[in-house]
Amino acid sequence: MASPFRKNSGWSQFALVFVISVVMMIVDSRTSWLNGPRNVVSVALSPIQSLASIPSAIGRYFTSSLSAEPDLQISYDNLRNEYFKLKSESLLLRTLQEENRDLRALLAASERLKEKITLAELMDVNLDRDNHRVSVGLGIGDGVYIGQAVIDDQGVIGQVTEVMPFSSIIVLITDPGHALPVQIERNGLRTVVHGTGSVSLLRVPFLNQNSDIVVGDVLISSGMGGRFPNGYPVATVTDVKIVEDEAFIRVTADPIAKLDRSNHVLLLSRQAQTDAEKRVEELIGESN
Amino acid sequence: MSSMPSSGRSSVGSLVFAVSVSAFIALVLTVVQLPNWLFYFWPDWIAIVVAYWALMAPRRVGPFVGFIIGTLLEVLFVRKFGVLGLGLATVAFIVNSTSQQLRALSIWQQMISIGVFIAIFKLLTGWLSGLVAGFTITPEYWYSIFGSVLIWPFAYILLEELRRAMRIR
Repeated sequence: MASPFRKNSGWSQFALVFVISVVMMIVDSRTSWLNGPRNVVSVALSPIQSLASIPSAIGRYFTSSLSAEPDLQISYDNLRNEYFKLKSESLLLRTLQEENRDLRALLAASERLKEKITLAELMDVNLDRDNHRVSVGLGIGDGVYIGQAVIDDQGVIGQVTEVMPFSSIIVLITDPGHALPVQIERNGLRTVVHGTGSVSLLRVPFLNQNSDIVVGDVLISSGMGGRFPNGYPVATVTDVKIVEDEAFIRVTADPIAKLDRSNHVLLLSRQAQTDAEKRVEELIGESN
Repeated sequence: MSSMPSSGRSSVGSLVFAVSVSAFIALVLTVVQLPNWLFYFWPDWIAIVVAYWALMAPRRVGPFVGFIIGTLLEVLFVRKFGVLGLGLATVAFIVNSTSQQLRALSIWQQMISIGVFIAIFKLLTGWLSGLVAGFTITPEYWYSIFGSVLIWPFAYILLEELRRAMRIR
């Protein structure tokens, strides 16, 4: 324990640390060898996260215990109205689903895979100011996997990048390093949405001057790349600027999901294998 | 004379304890959830703690300690290893080599120097994260330098209290 605290010898110590750091950077960016040690240390550091979440837990306790009865009545009424509305819409959805399946069968198209949805609560810690990431309280034991798509009740939030024993890290679609394949809901034009590092701004690069995109268009996930299932709302276009002498137009969009306000998120997991296997079994059964 | 080595050892022990406690508190403060207006100005607590100990105990707290604390921060942030460790080691190294002059400065001059060190730390780690993890520096990235400079005198006083209570040096 006392060895790092031994008498300082200036340059030589710094040179050694420099070499170790550079080796760690190279190893960690090319391989996953250091994930094991990271997971072990992260379990040891989990008290820090629980301590850091105490202030916001106290704040939430007071706001919930001090809210007045009329307010609760109003929010209850709103929720009940919402519930009945959604319930009646889902009645229609079932017939649409049947119709869609028949149409797909007529076109000999493959059936749309169903996604399994897991509800997860965000942890009350401010993970990292410099990257747009949040952590959720589900880990390896809950079947979370890297690349899993994450949505809230409005639209796409991001995807899982790290899975640790008791928590997982989600990178938001606004992270500067994140790109998401989308298409325009109105005409199916496919493109990509990039994060900018700002919570309410996304960029849509590489669209040329005669692309059909206007302010107010809704961008939905296109399912290209295989990470995000197709059809979830991602963003609305807020600005389309044509600059002469530039090869591409400048398009910005606003995320639809409540990226900085959601307390709960939904993890979508594919049951591709099991569903496909079932389908194969059914087909075999039919042909016999 | 025979009591000299034992008193030296206990002073190292209390230094280890004080550095660990202050680093732990700094880690908690780093991940605590904040209102939006404070978010980008929240000080770089870890860099402040490392700078303080590198200033007051330059013979004991150097690049190695900075590297270890930085690596813990990387585990907590789930970042790529090596970047923050090297950044904090650099801070510790610069403060170590200028500690004599820094301690003679007035509080205002010290605040400016800390601002410069934290700017160097953020520049280095921002650039390296760009290389290993595709990170892009935004204007908001620099705001925490102001928060750190403003909090330095208060952090200094509190850490001085801790150092006195632990009878370090």
